[in-house]
Amino acid sequence: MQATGQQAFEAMADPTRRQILQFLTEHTEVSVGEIVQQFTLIGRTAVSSHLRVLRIAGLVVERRDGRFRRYSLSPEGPIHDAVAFLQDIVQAALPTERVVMATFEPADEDSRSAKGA
Amino acid sequence: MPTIVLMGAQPVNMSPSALFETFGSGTGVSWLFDASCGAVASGEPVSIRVPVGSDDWVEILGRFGRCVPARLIEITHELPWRGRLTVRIKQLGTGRSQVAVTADLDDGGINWIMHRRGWPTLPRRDTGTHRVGLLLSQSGPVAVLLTAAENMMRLAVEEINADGGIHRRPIELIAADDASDPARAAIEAEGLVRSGCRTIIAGVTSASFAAACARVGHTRIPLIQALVNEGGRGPSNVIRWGERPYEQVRAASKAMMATAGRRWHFIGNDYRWTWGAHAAGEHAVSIAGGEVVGSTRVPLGTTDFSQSIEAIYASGADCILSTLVGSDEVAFEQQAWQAGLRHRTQTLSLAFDEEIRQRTGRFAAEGIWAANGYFEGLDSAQNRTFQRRYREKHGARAASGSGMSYQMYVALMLYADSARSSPADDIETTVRRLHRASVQTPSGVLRAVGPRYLQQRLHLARSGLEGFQLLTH
Repeated sequence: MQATGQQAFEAMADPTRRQILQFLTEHTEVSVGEIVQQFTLIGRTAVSSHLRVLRIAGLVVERRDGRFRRYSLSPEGPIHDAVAFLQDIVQAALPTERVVMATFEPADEDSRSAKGA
Repeated sequence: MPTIVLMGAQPVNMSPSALFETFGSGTGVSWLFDASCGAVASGEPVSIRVPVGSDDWVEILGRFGRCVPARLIEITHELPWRGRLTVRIKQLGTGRSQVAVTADLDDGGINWIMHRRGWPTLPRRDTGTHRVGLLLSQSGPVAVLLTAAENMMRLAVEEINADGGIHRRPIELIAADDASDPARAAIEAEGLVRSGCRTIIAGVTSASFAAACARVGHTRIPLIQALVNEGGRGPSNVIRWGERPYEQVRAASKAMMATAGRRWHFIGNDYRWTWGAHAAGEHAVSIAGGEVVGSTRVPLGTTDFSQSIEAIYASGADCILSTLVGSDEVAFEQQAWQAGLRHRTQTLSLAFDEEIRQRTGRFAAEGIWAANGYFEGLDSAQNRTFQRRYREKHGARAASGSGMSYQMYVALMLYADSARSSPADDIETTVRRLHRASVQTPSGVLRAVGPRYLQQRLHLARSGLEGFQLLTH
């Protein structure tokens, strides 16, 4: 799951892909042609390439409709991203060795172990 | 409720007791160990800053659960999402420990994180529920005021669903966070509408509520401001309940002035709530024979009140009216106490309940006056049953079922009453019914009079060391 979260995170980093995702929010299912029409500055090849990245990252699902492919938002992609993000936060909650060494005071430790604490 | 559990673990070159001692000490061990708290003991409040981006953080607000020195720290939290953090420490050898951190959360928490990450709200398919939107400040300065809000709403949902729901559909609560920001409130309100909510009940500032209304008012769904507010105009689907500052100041001013004197200094956050509340307060004070000798306004999110406190001293005021909100109010009261203001002045705070009192601290809060529609300690059989139900459902260590969050509960009960007595899916009739809604609650009968007023008895109380002391009036 972490790998998928990482891919989703990277897929989201591109502003054009974010715009495509936003467009998919507003329209339940769209074709490549409809996306190309919406984003006049991006060619068909580029749109297909973005959609492939989004699909591999689990953010978009593709449905074959005869000759056509239709795209919609995957409900799980955002969840994977959120979970991966949270996992990073939990990891950062742990004391790091470097920081712990800085707060470590040998004198107190010796007196504590001498008292058998 | 499905729960997700995430865990991390690591060995550390410190003994368990030394490591335990670093919790709350601000020594930079980690964001979690740098929690802000007094004693690390069960029931004590704790707040923790979590980094959520390169320059961005949110505050987790909760309480300690079970704590065992050198072994275990449990934190149950409601904001920005409901969940639990657990730190477990095990001895590995002399001066060496294994520390494990777990985070438990449910889909409400995942939704909050998804929103924060910028994922758009998806339209939801109909699941046969009656969706109620909850626009709440789950983060930002206002959040601390709403800690128990969702808990209280869930109690109302349980009651309403046990009674058949609304037109045989169970209520489904969908929460969205305005992050104490009006611009966000408008976006989130739109998201709630897109999610199929038939009403939005708001526990946010007046500024956020106004922004939400401007964005989604045209949909004609009822938009309900549940918390204390200054009132205001609007179309018939904009409903403003909660307490009113004029009545709060009327309830308290005579008794306060008899103790202290007739000169008042007003302090508040600089937006429409304060402008309205101070105008109403001035009127109420003059009727009681008092005089406003000073006024201070600060932006929401202020942490340093030294200048404001100097201004209060300089004005020679006997009484203070505070319309500060959330963590601003907590910081002000703590600093006012430290500066010795309590020896010279009495303070009435209009957005002050059990949660704010506990965050302020029982010594710093001692003597503060409040005039609310509800206090946890209201002495009636119905309230005792209500509080027992709250504790049974949410646990002994949940945030107090407090005055402000209670207004969210009654708002949902009033909405349900109106929706049930209207034909299914008839928004206009529901809105008209809301103007005369009435419900028997643990604090007595509450009755809406038009879209802009909720009739409820105000109770006067002062913060004491053991809790609020209710005064008869």
